[in-house]
Amino acid sequence: MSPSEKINDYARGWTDLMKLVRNGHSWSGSERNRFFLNGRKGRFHEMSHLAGLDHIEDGRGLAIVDWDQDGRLDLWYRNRSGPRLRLMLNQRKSPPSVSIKLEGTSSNRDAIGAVVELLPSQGDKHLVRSVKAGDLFLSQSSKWLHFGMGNRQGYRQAKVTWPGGGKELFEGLNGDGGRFLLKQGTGKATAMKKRKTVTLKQHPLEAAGTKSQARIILPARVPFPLLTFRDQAAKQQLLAANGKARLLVLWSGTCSSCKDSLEEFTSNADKIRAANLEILALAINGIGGPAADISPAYNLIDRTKFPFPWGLIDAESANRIHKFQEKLFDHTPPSSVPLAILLDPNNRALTIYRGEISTATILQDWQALQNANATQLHHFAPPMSGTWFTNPLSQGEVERLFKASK
Amino acid sequence: MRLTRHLLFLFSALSTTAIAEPIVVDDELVKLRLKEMARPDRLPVPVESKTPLTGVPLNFNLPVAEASDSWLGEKFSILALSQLNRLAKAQNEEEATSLLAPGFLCSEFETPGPIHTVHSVAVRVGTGGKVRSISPKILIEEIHALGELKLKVIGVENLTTRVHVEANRGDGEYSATWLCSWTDESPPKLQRLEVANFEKIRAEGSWFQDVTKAALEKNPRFEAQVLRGIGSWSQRITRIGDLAMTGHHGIAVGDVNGDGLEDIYVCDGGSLPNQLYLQQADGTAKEVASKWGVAWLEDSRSALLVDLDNDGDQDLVVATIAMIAFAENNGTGKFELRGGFPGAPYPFSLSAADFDSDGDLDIYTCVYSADDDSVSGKRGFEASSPTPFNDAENGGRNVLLANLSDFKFGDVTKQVGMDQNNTRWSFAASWEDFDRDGDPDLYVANDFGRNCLYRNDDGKFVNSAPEVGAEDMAAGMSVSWGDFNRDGEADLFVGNMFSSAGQRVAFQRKFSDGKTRMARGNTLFSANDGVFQDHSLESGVTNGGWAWSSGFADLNNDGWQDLVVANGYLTNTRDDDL
Repeated sequence: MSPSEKINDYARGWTDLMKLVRNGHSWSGSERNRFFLNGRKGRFHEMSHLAGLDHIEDGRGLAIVDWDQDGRLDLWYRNRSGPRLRLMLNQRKSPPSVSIKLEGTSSNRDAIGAVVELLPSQGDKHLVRSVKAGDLFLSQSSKWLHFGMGNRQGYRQAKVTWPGGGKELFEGLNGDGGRFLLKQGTGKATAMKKRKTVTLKQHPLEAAGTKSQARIILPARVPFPLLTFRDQAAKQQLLAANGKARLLVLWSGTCSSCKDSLEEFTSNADKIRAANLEILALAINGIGGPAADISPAYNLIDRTKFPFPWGLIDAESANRIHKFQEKLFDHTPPSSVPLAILLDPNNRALTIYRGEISTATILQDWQALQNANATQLHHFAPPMSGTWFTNPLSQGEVERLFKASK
Repeated sequence: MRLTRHLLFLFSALSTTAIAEPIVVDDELVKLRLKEMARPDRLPVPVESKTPLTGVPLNFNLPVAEASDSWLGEKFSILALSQLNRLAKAQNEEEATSLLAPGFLCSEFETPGPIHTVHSVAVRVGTGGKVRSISPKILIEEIHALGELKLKVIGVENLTTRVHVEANRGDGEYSATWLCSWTDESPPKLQRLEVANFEKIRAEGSWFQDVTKAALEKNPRFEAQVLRGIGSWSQRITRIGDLAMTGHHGIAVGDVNGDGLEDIYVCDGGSLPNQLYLQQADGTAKEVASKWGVAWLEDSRSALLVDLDNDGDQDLVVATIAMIAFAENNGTGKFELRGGFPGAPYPFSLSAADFDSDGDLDIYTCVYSADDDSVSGKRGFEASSPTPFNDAENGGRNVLLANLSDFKFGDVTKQVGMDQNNTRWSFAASWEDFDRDGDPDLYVANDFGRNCLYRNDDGKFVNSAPEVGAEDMAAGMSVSWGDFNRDGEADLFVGNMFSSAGQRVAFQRKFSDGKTRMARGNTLFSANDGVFQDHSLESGVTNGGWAWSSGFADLNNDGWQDLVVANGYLTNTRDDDL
């Protein structure tokens, strides 16, 4: 292998790895989060389970904060997989702690960068903390400094090195812990009012399962690949722009929710036509080639008296639809029916419906989307309300990226 | 999307009138008939290879061209793990016997050793005892007594696998390294099991309680934005909408409404609104991002709640795919977007400090990779491969933004000397005045190679990581400063990837020296007069899994900094793991 071939091979390795993940493989998944207890002699001891901190979701962010102000540090986890947030409240029977909030006057007001050392009344090991804004990974913990006191009482003074280097000694910490504000230049710690005890009920939390059913509004008009199919007269046809909006439905003669869908479209045929929408229902029963049993498709059409054009899709075209989805989504579920795609008169996709979908929803979406411009589509697509401060991709850019392939 | 994304804002033109009028999208999806759709059953993935291993020399000196699927060590490791898992779950003697080679030998699972007590936690560390022959019945009894085992192969040498073992039951917790030797057949049979080392911990009483549900369930989007994982959304939201399955979204704590209670801002993927949870008097949290004007849909990685203008309230910085956005807290329950810096595409962690000691906070942004195109799906290491793997310098350019007051920020990276070593794959950074000279220094954790420690000398920076021994050439993900040994100096904990597959592969002979550290896991540096010593292995903290946020926190108030790690890369629908 030449060096450039080696590099290409290496690059392909990364792509292949991600391909495996896109196909449903895990990559260092279901790992238990860890907690290591400081054993004080230079050694830590892993006791994640005993601490109740061994959840298996894919962790990312972690914010450390005394949420309920009871003098013990609690944890907010931010995860990739569900549950995407966890608030873990520390209920350990523990020695008291000193919590300190700094306020800068000549230094920055949040006193980010200040270093604080608690001074015990007699000699002890150092107890030093510093104020930070942003550490770990993608996280910012509380700006309150937390000093566990262990078995030692009598921390009454704090030595503060303010950002910029000025040093200041603060008096007035009461010896048995609590929450204090240290304002630059005052030299005196102010005790903060105690908060009412917080009681939050413990409850095991499970991730919500992924439903295969989905209604997806696309953020742009996305060029749809050209497809071929056999129409009901067994004639080869090309599915391409014909100036009419269409709902392309993929179905199977043997699937019960497909039957429900076809029946629903049949009973709403007038409404669908009145909305200037056509349906093209392509059965996947013919995918196996000439040897495939296509009678279930014919039977279902007969039984439902399906009034719209229909036909049989071939394997290559079905695969193109899957590839189209793979290009759109970071993770595409395995192909399944019923699958419906709303196409505008220029054969560009507006929505994708996986699973059964009501006519009312389709018509409502079509109503909203048929004349929508790029900005409106950009705003309709997110599954929940929110605001964008960026503009959408222009239609030209979408066309370039999703060039209709033959 | 970087090249094609148009900002409505430009950094210098801080116009607020240019914001597109937000169109309100109906929050409630139309009620759908939720019938499961028919789909072909997922076939189980074949794990066991039927290729006989007999007679194949396992010396791993394979030519590079065969490095794809034909790694014998990998195949063997999968087979051995599957056998060991069967043994661990074996319900009867017969089943166990079928997995063992004749003349099977096993060390005693532990030798009695001293118990070390840390604040009512009892710790026993030791090795296995003498090697003996043991009946299959007793063997499975002894294994079951450890609890339900979680096994990972972390090394393969000829026909011996090094296995990391974890188990927990009730008030006890067990972790160990087992050396398992196998017969040369397919599937292999266990010939010898030796406990190299173990740690057993007992503790009474509860510690952490999961109160997420009580705190958040009243929010209308609890199911959608808390319970549902990114894996569900990445099948539904397109790449045009900037939703990536890697799920790199962070969290920031701060008191945004000045009521003395801490609140959180939570970042989310493209097309999913970021969330602002205000803590209530009863400890629950109410989601108010829309009301506060910060339910942004741009793919957001991390955020900071800091006082940027020293007016006493917490302002908001968000690292989004489009720009580093700056919003001012107007003091009346709203953030106002004041502008953004578009020169940091694909940002990750943010960290703030007053590097020039002028009294206001400046912002450092990590930028992971250089070429990303979210629409084609190429991001991070798919867009450009980190090269060379263990010392890559083709990543993104991190940026230091100096606060020029009134929400204006300038890129001063080059002027202050921070463009040295600034093309690495940076995930995280944290400021700390490690040399205690009164100004903040910065540690940057880089994936695929060396980390940087920028020492601040009066506002100019020098990368002193090589000089002070803090390069930590590995897959850096997270930075935490803290004095774990209470000598007064700031020590350093770097979250790194621990991958059992990586461990297995990196120690095989075809990998040259210098790469074995890549999958070793976390690094704990102890500082001694400003020089860092690697204390990772003897402290027992390397295996944090595929670690992301990893940091110091004294969770039992004994004055000693413990360590917490959030880990796991990509859990997917299939059980088998890479």
